[in-house]
Amino acid sequence: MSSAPLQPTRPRRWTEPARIGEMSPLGSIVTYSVLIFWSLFVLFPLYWVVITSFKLPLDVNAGPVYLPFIDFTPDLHAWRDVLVTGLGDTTKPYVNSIIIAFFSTIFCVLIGSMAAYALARIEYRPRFGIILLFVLCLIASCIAVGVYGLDWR
Amino acid sequence: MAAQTLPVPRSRGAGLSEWFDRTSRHWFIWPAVIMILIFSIFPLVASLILAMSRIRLRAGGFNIRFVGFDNFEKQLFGSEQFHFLGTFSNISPLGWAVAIMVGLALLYWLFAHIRRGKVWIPGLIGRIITAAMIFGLTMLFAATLLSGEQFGTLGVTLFYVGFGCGIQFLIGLGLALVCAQPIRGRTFFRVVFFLPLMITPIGIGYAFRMLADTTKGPFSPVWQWAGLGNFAWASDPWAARIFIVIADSWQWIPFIFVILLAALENVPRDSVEAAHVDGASGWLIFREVTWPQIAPVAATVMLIRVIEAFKLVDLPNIMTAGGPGIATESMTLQAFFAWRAPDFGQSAAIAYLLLFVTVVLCVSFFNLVVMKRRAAEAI
Repeated sequence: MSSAPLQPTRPRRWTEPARIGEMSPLGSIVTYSVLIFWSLFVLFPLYWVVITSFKLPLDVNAGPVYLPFIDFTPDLHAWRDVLVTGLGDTTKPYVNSIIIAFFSTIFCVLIGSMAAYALARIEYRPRFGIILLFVLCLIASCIAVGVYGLDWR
Repeated sequence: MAAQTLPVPRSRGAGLSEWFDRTSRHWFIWPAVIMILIFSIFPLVASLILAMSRIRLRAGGFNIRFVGFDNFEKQLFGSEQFHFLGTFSNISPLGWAVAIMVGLALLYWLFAHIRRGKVWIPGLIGRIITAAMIFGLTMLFAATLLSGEQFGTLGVTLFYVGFGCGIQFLIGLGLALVCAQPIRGRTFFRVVFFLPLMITPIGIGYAFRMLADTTKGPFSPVWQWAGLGNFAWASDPWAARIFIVIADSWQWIPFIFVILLAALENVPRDSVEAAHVDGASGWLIFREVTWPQIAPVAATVMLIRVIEAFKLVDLPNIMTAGGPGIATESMTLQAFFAWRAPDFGQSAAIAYLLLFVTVVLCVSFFNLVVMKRRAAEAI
């Protein structure tokens, strides 16, 4: 056995990595092509929707056109309708969405974390009386509405 | 970690803060309890009452009349049976063969469980319910699909769940495995792959409807070249269902991908490298080293995904509005159409049937697969 320090040898086959912890050349090709293919698959619908928003109705209906400025001239009429002439109609749902998302997240995190802390740290024994009371309330409301025709209101 | 009770102050000076401390156990948990009571339990009970009644809107209010299980009967046996279960007259030989094989397998499973020793009665009852549900669904599948007839919304929902979630799991796992390799730009790919989950489902429905158009969509040259230029995919039941599965997969694969990627990154590199040095091939490393360590996480993420998949409603509504006839109508969509009719009793009954199927399938999946995986991992 020679005492020369070990050198990394050039991979003889496509399927051998140069070093442990790296990918083999064939592995690299397959991996990157899968990643790039899936990136295209993910991004293409978004790209299509974005460029369609810049198309005139003629460009949309006549057949698919793919590249702005080359296949068709982009036009801002759709964006104008949404953001300028119909601004009131657009901002209201938008603001609603933001409010709902914001407040529901805050409530969920607040109440959930409090309950999670309590459940993890404090010992709760289900007390029979409370459960019985709860079930009785449910049954009573079912009977009252179903059998006696109690008005919902 | 054992739950600890908060120390109760024994001093006589009971100020407001001490009282707060002593009753904090209630302060912490009552908001969550109240929210669950209002938003989960009450609607559950109210839905049950609605499902067993017949509501008619009239000027100034509504009439409600108790009718018992009529709504359920209508879905399962009565005039809506073709809608809910599907059309079936005779079961073909293939259907009988599949049903009998599945039935025998389930009986064997039950008896093997009983023979294993002392049996916990609720567990046995649970297994019997699971076996009954699986056999019932197999009979439905045998009677409708394998006999050349169409199946109704229950079958369509199970198709979305089974086929859709299966594909999503395989592709998500494949992407996670690919992304866990030593690649450059992993953060970029992670962000890009996560995008579809952040888009509203209705937007996805419209986007995919645009994409799938055979004359105006971007793939129309491909369709023309394949000779399908005039193929109206929206009027063929199976093509429509497959398109909805594609859109659903596009949206939800990132969820599975992100969680499985996190699990894969937690697999210690030492065991993988040791196996590699020992000369194990990639597949062997995956099967013996990686998979047992991510199996609990995979089971949990699939449970969450399956529960969510049962509720699919936006995509069929936007893409095909229920499909040619009722071919792509999931159960939630059927409940929505019934609600719009307006027939609230029917809607609640369909929702309760969906709840029943979902609970049995998901609880059995949880108990039989997830818990077993967790127990195996703990050992």
